[in-house]
Amino acid sequence: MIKQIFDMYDKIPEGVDTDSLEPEMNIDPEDIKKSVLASINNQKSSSKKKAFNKKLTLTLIAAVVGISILGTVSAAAFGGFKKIFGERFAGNEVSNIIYPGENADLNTNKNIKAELIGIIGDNNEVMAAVSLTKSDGSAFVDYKDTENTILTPSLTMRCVNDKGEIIQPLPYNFYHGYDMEQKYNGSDEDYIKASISDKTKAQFNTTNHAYIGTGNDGTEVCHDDPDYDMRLTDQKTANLIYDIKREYFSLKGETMSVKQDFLYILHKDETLLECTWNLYDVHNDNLEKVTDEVIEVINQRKDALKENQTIIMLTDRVRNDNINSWNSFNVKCTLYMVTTEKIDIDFKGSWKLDYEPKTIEMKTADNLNFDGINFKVSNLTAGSLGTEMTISTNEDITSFGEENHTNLWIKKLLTGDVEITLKNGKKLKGLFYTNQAIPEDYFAGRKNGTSFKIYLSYYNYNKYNNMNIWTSLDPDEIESITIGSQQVTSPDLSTH
Amino acid sequence: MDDLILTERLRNKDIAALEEIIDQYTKLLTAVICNIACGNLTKQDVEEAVQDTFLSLWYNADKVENGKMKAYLCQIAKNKARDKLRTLSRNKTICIDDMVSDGVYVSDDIEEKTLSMAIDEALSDLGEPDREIIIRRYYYYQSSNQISEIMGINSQTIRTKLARAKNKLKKILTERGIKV
Repeated sequence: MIKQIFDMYDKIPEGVDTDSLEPEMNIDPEDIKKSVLASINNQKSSSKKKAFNKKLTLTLIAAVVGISILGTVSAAAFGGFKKIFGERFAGNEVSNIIYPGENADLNTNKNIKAELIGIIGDNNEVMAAVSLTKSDGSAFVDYKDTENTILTPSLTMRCVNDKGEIIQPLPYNFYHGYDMEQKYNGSDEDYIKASISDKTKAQFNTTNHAYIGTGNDGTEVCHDDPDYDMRLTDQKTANLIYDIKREYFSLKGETMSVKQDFLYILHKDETLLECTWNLYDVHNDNLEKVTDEVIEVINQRKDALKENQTIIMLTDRVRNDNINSWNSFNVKCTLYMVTTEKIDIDFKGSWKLDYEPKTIEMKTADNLNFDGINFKVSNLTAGSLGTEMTISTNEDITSFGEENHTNLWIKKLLTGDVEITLKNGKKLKGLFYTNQAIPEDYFAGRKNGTSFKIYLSYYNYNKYNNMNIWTSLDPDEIESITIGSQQVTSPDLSTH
Repeated sequence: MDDLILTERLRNKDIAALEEIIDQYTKLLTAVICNIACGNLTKQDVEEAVQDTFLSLWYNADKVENGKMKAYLCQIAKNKARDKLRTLSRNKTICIDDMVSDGVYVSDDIEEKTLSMAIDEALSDLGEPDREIIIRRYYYYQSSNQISEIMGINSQTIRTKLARAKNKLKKILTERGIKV
């Protein structure tokens, strides 16, 4: 995501000498001039024709967008979709194609489960499709990104009919919220550009990076979140990881899946931080202990690494069924040492931690009010991201600002005037982790949301990466919480 | 010649101004494109990406804010390089990470002033040399080894500093309300 941030940076950073950027190859400016000037001259002669074509294209897309906004997709359209996918993906590229139901309404469905069913790539128009299954078993087509693992934010799904026309550019914000919607507020042309997702197809063919790999049988074979910068040396290593994972899941008696699996890869020349970052995200004493053990063992093995050898660590972090909940999970790490020639599992260790959530039911005073909004703190639960505080209000929280929806109010709430007093006397104010604050029915469209959760973590020094990170709070540590001028919970009001 | 004057001349469709800009920035753009390409583009591909960048500047001169021509060119060059890599990816193995970045395709209209200000502040908070290292890696796409060579710092140290600086940058930006 850092790269994403820098892609939005609209200036030249100061203090870096650009003359030191020596290109790998020499390009003669005179050659560039000739080509550019020739192109400009050619463009003048053909501009009228291009303008006509572009207008036609955009008109078609605009019409399609208009249709999609109506929110329903006809059975006939899905039939066309099936035909397209059936024809284009006959073979190995896509498996488990699920054909959608009919007349699904994007705006009203809840309890939706997403599953990737196919990807189409063609020049600047790349389309993907998933089955979104409602609780009643019916389904409709949308994009896939249940855990940020497959179709990272570059993807916007478009369905096509049997004529190859786009019939439903679905709103990305259905799942991910306002940010993607804002990002693609540009022209239709930009929208199409933004929907490029070759990544989902090409990922396993990378020379030095692994993303979600789609194997020949359509299964996902490896996973890389760009944030973790995991690197593979080459295609052979990628293939080895595929084999390892297949064996790994086979031993577990499970089908290969990314849903419960996190993959870490460590090269001899890479820092250990690369493979343990994700564990840093888990701020829990027991998990930190596991991290210690993992690092110790990895360090031992790292010293023994030979040229072209790699440590691969597979970790499971199994959460509750509710993907929004980090309150209950266990972690299992398995280390493999591989070379680029063969799998050489000369070490295999595992750690498992069962973490039981701890919930404290809270009693809060009646008629609490903050900034004109009545609310109630219903409970505090210990979670890996901190103490999860559930707040209920008597109003639809989606009304607290279009731009950031609930976050506007939540941010104001937590950064503005909240103080937590710990039992050791320490007071924490205004530094609480709010990114995970989401209405309980967020994934069903944020309709009529009246409660949400906030993770009460504070910024604190962490020994593992020698810097300040968000640190979790145990509910037992909390003496009292004050929101605004009102103390909403205290030992006297709470029961265990 | 001053970028402001060149930009103004460009807006008036002064071909000579474009030629001066090509002379001035071809080397920089070639470096940026090559860094993103990770050796996956031929010289012809790189030339085309550079040409396309200057063409984009020519046709979008009105959109270039005063004093930001260099930034505009760098950003467009990145996009053009990724376009080339995307085309290439259909037929052969490529360096996918830099091609897709983090899933973002920045439009030719560079905006996000607020974000840029926040990045400036966050970068300042990083301190040196972390600031320069992270700019070289994530803005100019230089490899750890290249950065190591230029800055005279051990490559392993560069990687460690990158990891930490990246994490710190994320935290700083998150604190300032920017979802990273």
